[in-house]
Amino acid sequence: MAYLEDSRGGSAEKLMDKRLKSDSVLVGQQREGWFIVLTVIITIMVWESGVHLRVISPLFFPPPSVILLTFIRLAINGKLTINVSASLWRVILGLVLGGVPGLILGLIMGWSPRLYRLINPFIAATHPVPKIAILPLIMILFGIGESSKVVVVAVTTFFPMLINTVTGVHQISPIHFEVAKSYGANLSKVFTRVILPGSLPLVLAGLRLALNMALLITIAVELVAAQEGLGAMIWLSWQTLRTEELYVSLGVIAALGLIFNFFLQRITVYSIPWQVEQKV
Amino acid sequence: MISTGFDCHHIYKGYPTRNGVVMALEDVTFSVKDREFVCIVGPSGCGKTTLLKLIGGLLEPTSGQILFAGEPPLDRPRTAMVFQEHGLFPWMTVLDNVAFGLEMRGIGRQERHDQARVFVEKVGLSSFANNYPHELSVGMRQRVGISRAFVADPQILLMDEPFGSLDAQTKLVLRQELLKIWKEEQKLILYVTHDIEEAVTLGDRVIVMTGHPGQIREEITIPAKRPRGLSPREEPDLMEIKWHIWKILEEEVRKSLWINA
Repeated sequence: MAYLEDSRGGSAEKLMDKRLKSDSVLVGQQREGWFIVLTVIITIMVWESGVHLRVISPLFFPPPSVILLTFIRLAINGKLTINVSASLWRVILGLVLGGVPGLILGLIMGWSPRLYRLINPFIAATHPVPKIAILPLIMILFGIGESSKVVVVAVTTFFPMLINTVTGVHQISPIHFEVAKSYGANLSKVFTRVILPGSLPLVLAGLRLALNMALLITIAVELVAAQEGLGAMIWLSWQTLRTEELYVSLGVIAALGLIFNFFLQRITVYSIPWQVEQKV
Repeated sequence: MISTGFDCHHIYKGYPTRNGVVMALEDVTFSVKDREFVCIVGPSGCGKTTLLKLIGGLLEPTSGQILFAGEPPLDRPRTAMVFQEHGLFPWMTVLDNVAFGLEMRGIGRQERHDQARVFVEKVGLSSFANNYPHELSVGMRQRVGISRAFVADPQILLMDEPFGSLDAQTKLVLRQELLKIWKEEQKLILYVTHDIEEAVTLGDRVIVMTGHPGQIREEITIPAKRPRGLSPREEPDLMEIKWHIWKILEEEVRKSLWINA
């Protein structure tokens, strides 16, 4: 049995190697992280002093200290909470209402070639239309209230979810279906043990795309047609020339995007342990 | 225990293509007895894999019949297939992969894991039971594939060039491993390969196939006793059989490469 010992030892070494490698990658990432922090600090310092030295116009570029104070003021007086929660609500509701049907239809279309051929022409025709362009049409159908805004976001998230899920199912190697069939897997087993886990990496990538697009479209819709929300806040501060509020809104939007992506990355790493080594 | 042998009667299998139907198999007739180790050898594209898939129920013959223990396959016996590579599910741990056949038969989690663990141990991978396939070497993965097939307790084991992608040394070791398990488990194995040496060292019988369309050219019973050496070089009569098979296949290989003898 010596050979078994050997091969086991060899692979354990390989595993160790991988661990060491990932450690050095981590060190590299940490260094990069510090570099980013340093760049941001320097930029802020130059900006701040530039305004005080009258090199930069405070009307277009209010100093970071003023933006920070504005942020605190808006956070305390509740204006920020109202607008952020209005936007978040639209993003999340839109994501659920568009993403879930996208996922389900995607699984069905990926699994059945016949339904794929039947439905795909409609998807191909409607997908390229910029979703913000159909806002007026949706406002005719759903009124000018909250529902039309959520519907636009839902329509937006539907497509990346659908397309990624279909691709996710299609890229599963045919051999996995053959193996399942040869061991007598029934339909529900093929679904839960092959189709779902096999498509999961691309489904999660689709979720990330959908979430980012949901945020984008929510802001865009709010710019043109809302009283509340981060987009509306941007528009209002532009109209009243309160640039510091404009910057606060932009900063909050950027922060939201970062938070979303951070959590989705965590979910991805956690739910597909067989792909941890791939870059997510 | 019912007899696990099977007979193929005048099997034809055609695939539709743009230029009409291409025959992958033509008039294939042979039978395999209980607990026999039969190798099918032939150049690539001679329909070996198609034949395996027909017996495994993944494909249906265009005409002809496969009888299991003399009966048509209404209630077909359990077959398990070992694929050349990528046959493992990357999203399942080693243990779940090995237990897959049992899971499909509706056996509970605890019981199927217990049974799978015995086999994972048998192929020396117990410390990798909870690892994912990508963390294993190619040779280890193929051992998992073989365990999965044996754990499912099939009456017929179908192996499609299981060691085709391995290096020569690993191949030798895994061949011995396979023979050991075969002896313990007493299964019928139908083993497809393009490696003549492998076929004559492993099989009780070797079926030689040629392609375009796939046909059986000869059936050879291997006289050598077991356990045999690692290579036909150690057994003079195996060497003779090897050259005999090569003579049959040589012409065909040359033809497919457009080389004149």
